[in-house]
Amino acid sequence: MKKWLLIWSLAVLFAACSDEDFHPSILEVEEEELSELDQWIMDNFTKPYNIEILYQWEDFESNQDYNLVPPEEDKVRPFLEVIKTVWVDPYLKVAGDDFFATLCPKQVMLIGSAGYNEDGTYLLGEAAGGNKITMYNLNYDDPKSDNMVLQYVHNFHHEFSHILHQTVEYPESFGLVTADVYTSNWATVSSGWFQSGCISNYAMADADEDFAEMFSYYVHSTEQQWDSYMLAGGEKIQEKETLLLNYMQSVWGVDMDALRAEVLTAIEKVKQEAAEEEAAGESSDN
Amino acid sequence: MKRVLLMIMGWTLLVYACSVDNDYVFEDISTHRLNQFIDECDATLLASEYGWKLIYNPDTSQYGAYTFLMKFEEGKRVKMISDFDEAGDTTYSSYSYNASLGPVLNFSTYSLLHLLADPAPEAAGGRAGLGFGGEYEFLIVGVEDDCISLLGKKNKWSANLVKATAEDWENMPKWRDAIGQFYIDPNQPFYNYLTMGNDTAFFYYSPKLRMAYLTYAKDGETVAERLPVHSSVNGIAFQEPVTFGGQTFSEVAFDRETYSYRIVDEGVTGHFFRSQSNTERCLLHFPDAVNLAKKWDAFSFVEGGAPVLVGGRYCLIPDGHGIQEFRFYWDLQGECAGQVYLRETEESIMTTLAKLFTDHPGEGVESDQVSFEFLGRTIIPVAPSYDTQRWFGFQYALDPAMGGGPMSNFFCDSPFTIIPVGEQFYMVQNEDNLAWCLFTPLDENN
Repeated sequence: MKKWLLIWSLAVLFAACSDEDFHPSILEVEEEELSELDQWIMDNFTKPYNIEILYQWEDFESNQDYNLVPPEEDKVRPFLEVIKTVWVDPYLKVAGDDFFATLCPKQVMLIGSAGYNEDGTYLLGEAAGGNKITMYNLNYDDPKSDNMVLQYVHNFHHEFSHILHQTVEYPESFGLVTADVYTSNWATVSSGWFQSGCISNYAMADADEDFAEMFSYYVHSTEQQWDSYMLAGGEKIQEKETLLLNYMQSVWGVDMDALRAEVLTAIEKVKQEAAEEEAAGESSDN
Repeated sequence: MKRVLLMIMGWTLLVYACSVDNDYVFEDISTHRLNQFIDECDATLLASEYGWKLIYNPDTSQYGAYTFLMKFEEGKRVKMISDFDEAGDTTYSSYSYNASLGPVLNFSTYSLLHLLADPAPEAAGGRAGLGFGGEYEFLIVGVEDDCISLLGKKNKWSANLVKATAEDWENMPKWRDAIGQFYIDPNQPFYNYLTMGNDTAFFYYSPKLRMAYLTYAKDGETVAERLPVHSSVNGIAFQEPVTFGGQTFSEVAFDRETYSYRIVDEGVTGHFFRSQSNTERCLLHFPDAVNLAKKWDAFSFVEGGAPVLVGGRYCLIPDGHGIQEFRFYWDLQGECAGQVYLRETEESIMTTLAKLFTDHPGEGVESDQVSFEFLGRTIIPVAPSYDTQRWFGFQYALDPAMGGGPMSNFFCDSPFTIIPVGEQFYMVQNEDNLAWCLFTPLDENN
């Protein structure tokens, strides 16, 4: 009896639904043809590392505190080539594929302008939620010029280090070493940061920025430069250096000296390639 | 058995509940209708043989209009030229649509249109952090064969894409040249007057801001009108017809041979003339000019530029040698004693007490250029006297990378309104709304 009742009920149910018209899917299912740039990004960042590069403007992905513009298209690939050389490749060599694939940001957003603050400072990069890095100010110089390469190296390693400490916190003691010098007015500090035990005035913003600045300066400074910073910064900055190096080795298994060597080599490689491209351009002009 | 009957009744009720016919107000679901609207817009944009013309007011409170021609192409690409771009470049960029707040047209990679939104002063000379207030995302509010009606996504100011013609593309270089010509006057760029009947007005035009300024006396008070313009083949066209001296006109041309303006409208008898008068004398035309000199003590002005020693005093000349940024402060309760804040490098911040002069600094300079004498120099970590609210000042950054941009005002406890009317020229309106001054840099030829 129960069985027949069940069959009857199902029959009624299906009959009730049988006249429904189903609309086509509201989701966009057509795949747009990739541009040459998009295909290059797919081959070099998305497929190998699962990194989405956002260079076309998407308002809701951007920082709403600023008036911003998207990057010029012809700046995108040179910028990404630099980033691949000075950021991706050194980590792959020193820390391995698993480290990079696990920790690399899943989104990199590119912005053409800087984020202008009212106090005259600029936002040049930011990391969020351990999975996204936004890089600003792509439009205003040759991405492969010496100045810009150094700026990108600094900013990208700075932001990536935020992802590292957002994933596993650095020792609390790091933030205590120079806790008394952190200030929201860091931008007005025009000198004396070394005497305060910080690597830059931005490092005086808070412990996270201090960590990221230390990290970034370490990987793109020569040993000689770094030693001079440590000498100028005294015991406090040296204490933070030790905490930084130990944290990277013990938590992530990354030898910072080896990473620095790879980054410095990469910077030279980019400079050499840029010089060769420039020479080739000049000879073709002639 | 009772349980079975209850189940049957329950199922029956359920089925009947589902079988009611619904009368839909709309023929389709909202997402489909939105997508259809966007498809219709895109098809319309692509269908125009010569593309679309946009005469765009980025911020109607401060700027006139800039003209763009756009040709939308397959693959979501757009070709663009503009009268805002002195180089006359053509950009190819991407556009897209999204439906986040309704149908939105998004110019998604950098193009000439972005120059008006770019917060970097080095892009096109806009204000640091603000640009010209332009947008590149627009709500699509109407689609017709010859007009796409848009609203800026942030400020909701309207912008209409109007179907362009082959003639528009031919005219673009003329529009661009006409705008540029207004700027070329090596002899005396500032002191132009318009006479119509018995009335005379001071006339100034800023090609960058696309704004004309007409200042004149009326009923015992000084009136200063800001008149948004856009480029025309002859010169500039006022976005609203201008009525002055009992006549109305809508277009002004610039004669490159004589470096003079002329009204294009037929039957209008007014004419422009130039005066060699400096700003101070120029203001004598206005009712409150007698008191103005007195007001200048607490109501002085300043101009950005590197200080150059002329006739025993320093004079500010905008050439940027060594100095990255100027800030100027006036003690509103004091007399003519200001502070000049000089920023030479990122690490070096200096301020100097200065005695300011509003007269001519001496032989060889025939301008109302501000000048000053250094009274001393101290190094300060931050700008002075913010808390006292006694200071008025504004800044000019010669190097945009140093921040600040062409001008931003601060410490102003509201007795002044400063209106930029050119790259380094400001009009300042005092509290009682009577006195207007035009402040200019030193003429390069002097």
